[in-house]
Amino acid sequence: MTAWPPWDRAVAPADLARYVQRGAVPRLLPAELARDLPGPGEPDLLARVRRAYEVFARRGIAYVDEPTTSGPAGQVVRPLDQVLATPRQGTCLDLAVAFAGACLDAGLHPLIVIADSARRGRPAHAVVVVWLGGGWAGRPAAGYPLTGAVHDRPPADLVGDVRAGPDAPGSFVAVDVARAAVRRDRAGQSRAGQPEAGHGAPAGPATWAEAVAAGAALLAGAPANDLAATPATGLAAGLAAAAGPGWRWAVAVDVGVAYDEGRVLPLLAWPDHDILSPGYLDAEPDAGPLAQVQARRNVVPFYGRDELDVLLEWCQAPDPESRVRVAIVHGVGGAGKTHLAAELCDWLAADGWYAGFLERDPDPAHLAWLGEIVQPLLVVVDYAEANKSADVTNLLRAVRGRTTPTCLLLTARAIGPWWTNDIEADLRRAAHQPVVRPLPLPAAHPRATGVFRAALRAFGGEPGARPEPVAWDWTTLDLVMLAWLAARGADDLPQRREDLYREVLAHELRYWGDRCDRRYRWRPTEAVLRSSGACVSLRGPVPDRVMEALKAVPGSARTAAASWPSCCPTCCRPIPATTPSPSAPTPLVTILSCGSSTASGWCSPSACGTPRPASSSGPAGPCPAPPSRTGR
Amino acid sequence: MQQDRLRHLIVIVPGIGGSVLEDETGGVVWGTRRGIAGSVASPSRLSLAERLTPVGLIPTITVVPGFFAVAGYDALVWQICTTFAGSGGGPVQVDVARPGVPPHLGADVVLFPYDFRLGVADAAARLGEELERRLGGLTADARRGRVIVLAHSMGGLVARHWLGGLGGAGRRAAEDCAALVTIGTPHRGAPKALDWLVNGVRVGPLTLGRATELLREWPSAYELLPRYPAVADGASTWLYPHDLARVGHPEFARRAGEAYKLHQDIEAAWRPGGSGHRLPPVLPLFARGHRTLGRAELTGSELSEPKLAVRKEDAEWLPNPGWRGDGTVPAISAIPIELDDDRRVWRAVAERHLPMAGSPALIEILRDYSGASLAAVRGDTPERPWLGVDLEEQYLAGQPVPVTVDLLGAAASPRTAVWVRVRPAGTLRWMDHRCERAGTGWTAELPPLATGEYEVRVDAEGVPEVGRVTMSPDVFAVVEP
Repeated sequence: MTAWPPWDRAVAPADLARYVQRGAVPRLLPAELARDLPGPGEPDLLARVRRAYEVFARRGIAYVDEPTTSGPAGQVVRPLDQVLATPRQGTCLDLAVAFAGACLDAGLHPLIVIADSARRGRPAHAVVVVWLGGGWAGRPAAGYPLTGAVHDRPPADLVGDVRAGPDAPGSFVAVDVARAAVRRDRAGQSRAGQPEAGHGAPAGPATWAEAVAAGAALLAGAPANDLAATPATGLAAGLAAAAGPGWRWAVAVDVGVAYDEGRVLPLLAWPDHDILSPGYLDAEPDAGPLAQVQARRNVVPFYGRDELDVLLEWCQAPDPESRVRVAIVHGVGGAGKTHLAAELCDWLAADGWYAGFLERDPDPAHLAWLGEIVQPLLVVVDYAEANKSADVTNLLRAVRGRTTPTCLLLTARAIGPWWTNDIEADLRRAAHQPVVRPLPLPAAHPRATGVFRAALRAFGGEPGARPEPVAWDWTTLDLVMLAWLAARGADDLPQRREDLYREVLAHELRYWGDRCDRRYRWRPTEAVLRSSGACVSLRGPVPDRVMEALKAVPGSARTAAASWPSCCPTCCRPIPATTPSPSAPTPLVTILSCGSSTASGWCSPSACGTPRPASSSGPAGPCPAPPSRTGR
Repeated sequence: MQQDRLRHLIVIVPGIGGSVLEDETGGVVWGTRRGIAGSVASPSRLSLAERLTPVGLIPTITVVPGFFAVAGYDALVWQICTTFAGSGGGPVQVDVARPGVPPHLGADVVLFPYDFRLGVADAAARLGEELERRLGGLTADARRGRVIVLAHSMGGLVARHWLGGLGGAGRRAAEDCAALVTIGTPHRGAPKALDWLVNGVRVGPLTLGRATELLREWPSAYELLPRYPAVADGASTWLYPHDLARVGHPEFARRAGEAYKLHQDIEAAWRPGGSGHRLPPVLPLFARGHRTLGRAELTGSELSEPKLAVRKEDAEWLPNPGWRGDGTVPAISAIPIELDDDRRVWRAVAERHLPMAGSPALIEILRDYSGASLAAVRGDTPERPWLGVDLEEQYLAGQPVPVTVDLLGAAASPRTAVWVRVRPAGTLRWMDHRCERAGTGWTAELPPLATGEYEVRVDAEGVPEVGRVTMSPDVFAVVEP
């Protein structure tokens, strides 16, 4: 279990210090960030605080609003790995707790101050206040002016001595650590701008100076009780009037006082990598044609369709029983299932969900960790029919006890035995009854012309100046590929699917031939490229399997393909589920159906295993002769 | 958080003016029971003819109206109580040693107020009696090294007098004591006492007549006079205070001579072998770098009345010129004579004279003695850079308040900014004044302030390597002309 009990600020406020972890922050950060963390030997205490803040700001942590599980029972606090490693999200409190740990590591004395919004219904906010009058080495240093682990009222020695900015005087610095996080916008973009009105929520990452000023402003809005009791001198009266009305002091937990090594909540193992990859992957400059048309590369923006709204509403609909929801989006290859799933991930991630595509063969321990993720969860299993039934059943077992919204989205060509025989049967055995919703996706996009023109623009073409495809039974992917050809200057667009694929594949092989030539000063023949491409497509996602398969390829093809693991679009990118992509079988089927002597005899079961697309997914999608389609 | 237990009985001996004095009716004659606000001093009742009872320690640094600033001891007691557990494992037990009141024998900390008017010997005798009341029931083993004395300013002379076996305390006192920490103690006196006794207690150009009269009456004031030739008379003649026949009031030289004798007795007892028994270690806390009255000079021609000018400069005929002091006591004076060459036990701190009574270094020393820390640093400079600050105890209303600051132990950079922070005592927020660079230091001229007591702090930001250097809060008063 990685979940921590909620923190009940009313009943046991000092327990907040139990969530603070020493020594964990460096382990959760990549080396290039961990080495920039401050150490206790640095004499300038303020510089230590600043360095810690700037490391947090560089970590790309997404700010999320208070999770729905936070309520009367207390505030959910994310384990540190969820804040700093993956999925790198947190509330202001999560960030404050994480930062307090970094402060202790740096020999600094931190307090976490919680302030309630003066406006009814607004969430509270948390900042970290660090004492600059001395360090911390397991206990407060001599001269530390405060006493007690919990301050229900603002201590005069603190509030009166918080610096207004990083260069202003003051023995305490208040850091609005939440401003080191970013509000993740859609399509993986961060949104800069003003904080939400009435809440110190971040839109950052903010600079160090901004974070300090924000922290000071928050405390200035929480004037100490004794201020009112001071003599009405001009100074005191003026300061009282200057205090902002936005925040009321709720409680401060003095971590430097309350921290007790023996009572710290355990932080268990976390995945060493993201087991969910985001909906959209980074753009690839100088990519080949097939990479450019891949939905998750997001070169072509998602073109709206009703199914996205259906899924968004379905995922976010309230459910008092907290049941797991499973959507099965099925349709022919190229219908747009993957793009729909990626877009859904992008929307929900912007809303604070942990959303992404599940890697293949996930470690059961990592799935168990996934089950304890605090925020709402969307897991996409793309090509669920491709030998992934065990992944799905393991996942469903891991997440069934979750109390925050939990959705699985499975994409498949069709609902077949992989679901009915494998997964459904397992659910029955486990007496687990998730909400299941099949969602057929028509092969043809309802707004085909719009898809084509949007894709054409994305590839740099100008609608109206280029030919448009003849009306035919094109899938969404077909339209995107046609747009790519049109943008490349094709005068006449193919009119049949096999012509389209042949032409795109020719471009793809030419692209790889050029790459090979540039890299090795050797241009393989088309036959060699086809052979190696077929093999790579077949075993694509796992590089070591590719190399194993290539042992059976005749010499020249092996040489050509040996360069592919470092540069081909299907085997070396962090794409957990590219096989079978709609176009991947094409080289394979082309070669096999051509009876190429180059390929004959090399694809032995011992080297390659059974080709997945043909055996498990039913109709293989766009082959030289368009197959019949399910789901139409 | 695990707290270390106190292993010793901590006895806090305040400086001059640091005790609350009551008359026989229970009325407070000196000090306060309610913090800074409400300090009282009844000049007519501070004469030696009045019998007064010490009942407690002054809580916080206070400017006693019409008199001078005195140290407060709450900060020290509070730090001890929050840092340590009592010897029994529970909270630290604090007791006030009041004459005629039965002692709390389970106390971990004893506050020892005394009638500071009467002088060192009187207080030392009472200290001996008080500790005998508390330790008398213990076995010889249990009481050996049981006490650590933290003695501020004049309190250090009191403790040295008692431990030196003067006044009949004998060997026992030394055996009871594990260590004596003197905090800004004028072991060799302070030219400030000379200035006040000869020229009067002053605020700006004004002399506080009643305060001056009373001081001249108290034996303790003379015991704070320099016990070295502090006064230059011409180019090559240096005089002891008791040599000053032509300045000061008629009784001055005689009483200064008596005080000098007291110092000689103490020093003789503490000289190796002087007391005939082994004495506990003395750890002298002192500060340097703050401008301190240090140079006294007789001026005037043969025809005119001679005058004594005491200035905030080091005397060039004395050792370590340039060290200055803690604002009240010169650094060279805060080291006992027998430790002149034993720098291992010197403890330089950054605080000025009054805030030094709450220095965190005292907690580090107690941690040393509780076996918890090796952090305390010995030596003739503080372990970190510090600020030397020139500040008076009192200013006149309507006049600007000048403050001069020096950064010591570090070099400033163009980024270094120095702030003087002032707030009316008892209020919350600081009023910040950024200093201007002036020569090697900084100055600020605070605008004229309303009458009242003010807390003052000085912060330097952007100091290379260390970032921030601060001066512990001190106090000054603004008084009506």
